[in-house]
Amino acid sequence: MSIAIPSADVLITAVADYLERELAPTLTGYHRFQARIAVNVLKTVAREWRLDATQPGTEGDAAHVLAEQLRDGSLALDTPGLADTLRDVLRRQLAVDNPTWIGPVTPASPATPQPR
Amino acid sequence: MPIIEDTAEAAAPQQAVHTALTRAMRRHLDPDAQITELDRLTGGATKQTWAFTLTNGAHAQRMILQRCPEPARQAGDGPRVPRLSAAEDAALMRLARAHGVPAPEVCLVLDDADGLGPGYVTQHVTGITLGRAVVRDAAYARARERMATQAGEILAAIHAMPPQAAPFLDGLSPADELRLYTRLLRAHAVQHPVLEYAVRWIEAHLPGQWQDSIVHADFRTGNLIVDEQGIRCVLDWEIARRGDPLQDLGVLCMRTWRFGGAGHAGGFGSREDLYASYERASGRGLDVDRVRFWEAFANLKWAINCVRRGLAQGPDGRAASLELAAIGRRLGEPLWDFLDIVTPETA
Repeated sequence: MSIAIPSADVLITAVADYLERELAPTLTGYHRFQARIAVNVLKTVAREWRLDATQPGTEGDAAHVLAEQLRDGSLALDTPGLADTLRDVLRRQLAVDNPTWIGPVTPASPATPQPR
Repeated sequence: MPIIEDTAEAAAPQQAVHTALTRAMRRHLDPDAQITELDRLTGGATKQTWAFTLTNGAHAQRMILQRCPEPARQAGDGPRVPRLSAAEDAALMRLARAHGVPAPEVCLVLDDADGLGPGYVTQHVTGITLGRAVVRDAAYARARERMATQAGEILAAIHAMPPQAAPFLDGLSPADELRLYTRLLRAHAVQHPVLEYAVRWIEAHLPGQWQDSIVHADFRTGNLIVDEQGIRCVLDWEIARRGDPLQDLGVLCMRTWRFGGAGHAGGFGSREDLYASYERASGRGLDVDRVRFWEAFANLKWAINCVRRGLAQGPDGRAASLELAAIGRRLGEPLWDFLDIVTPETA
């Protein structure tokens, strides 16, 4: 356990909160737009730090291996379970980069995004 | 390649543009022209858009100055990323208007003597382009009811334009498009399994034949001027090409460009309305599976562009900009949408 306090994600979130709550409202035009991007980037980094801290794993390596097998053709596109595995890769990625992109998992939920 | 090469302009861009633009308008259009209310609409060092009022005595009209970067010289063999020069862009928009397509009305094309670089001046069109406003503001609720139908009609008109009247357009087959985008991807050291899957899937499903047509290639919410009557003007023609026209419908239906709107077509309307309108206006049945193919491919192209922008470096080796670096983290979105389109979810 780190002796550094507060943790990195708390620091990053503090910067994001300052930008969003205090600085951005004083800005207009280009800088206001860029400040909003900065806030979202910091929140992404905080989520990544928390995910790495709580679920350290070799997902990255497994993803690389899978990418190589797909690129060199050793894995068929219709391999059973492949689509589900690819979705799992993206679920983890989107949980960090944009948690709002995928709706609630339960198909019966009325909040689920409409089928394609 | 940056537009601003003149140090005087870099120091005082507003004044420099005002001076040069006044000279240009007097030279090309009206020796007594005055320029007022000059406003820069877009940021950045590449494509610059300015609005201004051209007055002569009592007569005043609002106009747009578009300054365009030169298409980049591209190294290597193989298909190029289509990018029209200012003169070609203007010629295409003139052709579009001549065929009943709502495009900006070109008043003049800049030449070297104007000292503004490549570009053109068009009539201003009143309306909004901002995606989030188009898809959700109450002021445009009535417009949204008819926009999918309008989009179908406009796209059919674009696709009916004679390609031979625009000989400067690059022709790209579906295989050419895949070769081009794969080459762009391989310029970066990226090992993403869903990207690789998508490249192979597109390759395995490439259409063998299509109705060779003029293709806008970026017809989507964000590039349409909208007012309370609906779509008023189609912008951003500079990546137009010749190819399979159904890719324009695929791009329009991408989830990324719905800006949170519920309608599958542009976030503003239904796929059914768009398809029915396109069929009626084109007088041909619509291959819905082909539209889905191009929607999937459009997602792959956007994913590859997320890689390129996310990894874009400045001269110091750091991220070229905050905005570009941030786009790299949007990679998962079009890849998720790609899987939704091509594979049913069984989990």
